[in-house]
Amino acid sequence: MEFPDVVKLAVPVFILLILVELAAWKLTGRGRYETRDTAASLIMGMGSEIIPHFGGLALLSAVWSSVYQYRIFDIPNVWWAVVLCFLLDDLRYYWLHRIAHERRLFWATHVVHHSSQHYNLSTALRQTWTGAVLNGLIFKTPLVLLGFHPAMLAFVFGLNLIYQFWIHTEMINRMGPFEILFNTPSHHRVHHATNPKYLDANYAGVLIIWDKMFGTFVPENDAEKPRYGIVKNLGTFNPLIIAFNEWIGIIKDLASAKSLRDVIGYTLGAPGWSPDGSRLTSAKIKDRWAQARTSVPAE
Amino acid sequence: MSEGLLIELAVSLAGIAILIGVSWLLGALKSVVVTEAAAKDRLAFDEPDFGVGEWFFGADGKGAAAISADGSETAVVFAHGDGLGTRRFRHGSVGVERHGTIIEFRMGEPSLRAVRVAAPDETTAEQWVLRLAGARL
Repeated sequence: MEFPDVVKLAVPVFILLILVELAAWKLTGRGRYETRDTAASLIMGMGSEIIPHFGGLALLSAVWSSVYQYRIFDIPNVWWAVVLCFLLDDLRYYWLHRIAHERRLFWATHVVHHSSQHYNLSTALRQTWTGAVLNGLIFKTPLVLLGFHPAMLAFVFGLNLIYQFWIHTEMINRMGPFEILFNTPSHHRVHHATNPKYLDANYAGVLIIWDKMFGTFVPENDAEKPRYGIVKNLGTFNPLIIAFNEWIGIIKDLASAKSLRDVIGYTLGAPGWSPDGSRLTSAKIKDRWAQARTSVPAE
Repeated sequence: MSEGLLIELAVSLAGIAILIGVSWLLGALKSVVVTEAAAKDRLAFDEPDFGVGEWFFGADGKGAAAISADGSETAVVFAHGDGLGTRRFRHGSVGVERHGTIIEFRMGEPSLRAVRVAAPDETTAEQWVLRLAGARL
């Protein structure tokens, strides 16, 4: 069974669909585009595809080839194995994605994707330059050890990535019963929102059932329009700063660390963790929001 | 660098150029104006527990600043493309300088070196900088 490079094949479709969305934005006024933001997102996307070719993919390939020699099961390259691999990879994606939001070392790679204040198809391509190989080694290697061929794994990961492209849009509202099982634009808008009630929700890749199973599902509320971005929005469109801003923050914090506890907190604590608790984590933002709501006198 | 990678790079660059060009032609290159309403709305969203004592709205619509009611904190609102951002810090913990009518907050972040708030004239700027540089209400 041959496994094509589906992401490479999809690139022209990505470009075409962004053009369509741009036209739809202009004609209908729905959604939002800003040229510099779009440029930054596209450059981040290109970098994320090109940079792993400079050693990272070779390392990943070498590790997976070695691990595959010691696989637990001999899983054949047949259709049902592809389906099984896709499901397990989607579950893997859920947990990687959740950890990427809950642990700062992984957030440093993933924050790139959330750093735009826009939510359109170009945002889907705003991807990390520093996480693909690291995440692949840590989170995908277990599937190779299980017995899935690395080429099959690369294929299903590509399918997952392509699925996630089209859900980055404000053009599509709700999708009826499809939303019960699948991640949709509505579900993913919630994930990209910085509204306190939407923080740390809807980590799904393709199947939204993982969020429903693990208690992180939050439906979009028409009364609360999502505001996209990050808690401390960036003030630059410079791709280099977008790529490394959080890493620089980690390095600065580690330089000021006074104990092993500080080192662990600054790297493996929640984004926003600080020794004296003076900074805001998602949990604190939610608490503050809840307090602000209850302290507002009824009119 | 392999030939395949070079082709991939060339196709990606061409695609990016087309999309940037089209978005520019469609009028997507925009800079938001930091109006009073927009600054208040953004700060209330980002920092709901920041009780504002006094606002300083930039005359050029590029930034605004606020001192908290108890005078212990400052917040700034800045324009970024067609969006807004905010920062909140302890009063006096960020360098504040005046350059003519411009009050400059030296944020020192890689992604935000400075936030500038333009006073309507130099006399007002002098009054503002005294308040924003550390004087408590």
